[in-house]
Amino acid sequence: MCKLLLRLLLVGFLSIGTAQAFEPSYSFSRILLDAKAGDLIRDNISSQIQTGLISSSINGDLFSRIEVFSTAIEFRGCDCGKSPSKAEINEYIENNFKEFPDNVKSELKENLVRTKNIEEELRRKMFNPDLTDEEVLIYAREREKLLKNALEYEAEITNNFYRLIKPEAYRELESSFRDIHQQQENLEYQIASKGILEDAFKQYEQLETLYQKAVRKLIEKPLEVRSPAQGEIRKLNQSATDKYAEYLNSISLTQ
Amino acid sequence: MNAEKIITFILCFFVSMIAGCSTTPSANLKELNVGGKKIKYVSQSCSPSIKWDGFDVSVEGLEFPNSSDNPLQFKVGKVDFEEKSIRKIKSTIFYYDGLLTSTCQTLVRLNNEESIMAYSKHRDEVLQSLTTYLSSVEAAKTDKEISQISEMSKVDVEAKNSNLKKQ
Repeated sequence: MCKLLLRLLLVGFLSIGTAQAFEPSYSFSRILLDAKAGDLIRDNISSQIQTGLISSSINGDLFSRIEVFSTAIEFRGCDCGKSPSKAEINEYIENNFKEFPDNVKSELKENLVRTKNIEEELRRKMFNPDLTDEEVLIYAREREKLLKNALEYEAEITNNFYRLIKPEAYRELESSFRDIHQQQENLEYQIASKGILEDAFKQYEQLETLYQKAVRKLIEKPLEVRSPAQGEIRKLNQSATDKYAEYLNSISLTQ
Repeated sequence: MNAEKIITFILCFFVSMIAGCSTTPSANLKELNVGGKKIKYVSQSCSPSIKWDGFDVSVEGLEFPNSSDNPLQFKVGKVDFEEKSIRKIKSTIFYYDGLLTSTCQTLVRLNNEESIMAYSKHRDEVLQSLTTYLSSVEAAKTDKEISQISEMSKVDVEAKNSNLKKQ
């Protein structure tokens, strides 16, 4: 009964933990690419279909769902037909980075708007009908680089946020809980396949004690999860933000 | 002596036949190497899509003449991994998904057949890198491994892209 109660408490705690944490539901680069797909294909696909290389249109759908313990994080690709507007970029930031202080959000917004503008410009240049294939490939590579850097930028600030809302001690506890749980599962499997052996049973009981200890510690822990200080987030994100802005500056659009 | 020559000739003939056949593109049938297993496939769409239902990632949009099920299914969303690793996997898969989409967008823009063929080959390489990545993640045991595999995979696929530039 006690065990059940602890498990229930843990499930409850983990759901609260996830509700507090943010997890981008899809990447910004993905929105950009999806937005363009329809326009790009319409004009160019017919000749390609004849070569047999392409047999249908782009399927940009991405639907994913991850379950970690009892928590579910869901994300799906955006299927918008046009380039995202500034309002949509705002909405994206509000949905996925709402815990960020305003100054960090506005820096993020500035970088994402610039990313969108550069991507549009690269695409416009890439679709200039006078270009040779070699020139097309130059712009294509620049777009792929933009995609990679934008994703890395997003990934870094997401990780930074986690570092602030989930201190190291919490993560260590969580991983020790996971280890115990894994060992227990192995034992359960052993017992189920070979019958109850005295040794296995003893081990299981020991693990149960460890498990309950870990659960108790985890339950006590959320009180220590601090709300990140605004200045701290900005400081932590500064190098990623600067590095990305510098990269955006380095893109040459005059070819 | 004569018989030997004839045998050598026949052997050479067969060798050249086999070599000739293997380099001739045959009706869009391509091959992926997934964890040492060779899987033949036909591309149904310009850009294959990636689906993730929680624990399984599958690559959709390909047809497999030798298999009734989709052999490109990988168990990667293990509960045992840290959230950070799950995010890393997710971010790498996003990268591949975006790369396949943008590769397709470039492919439809190219004009001459030679560059279309070369770029189509590049797209197939990206797909190969993705499936190699997914099968490595499936086999990975620790969070550290996940981190290394993800980094290496991105570096690897980027290198393939710069090789394309030199050709």
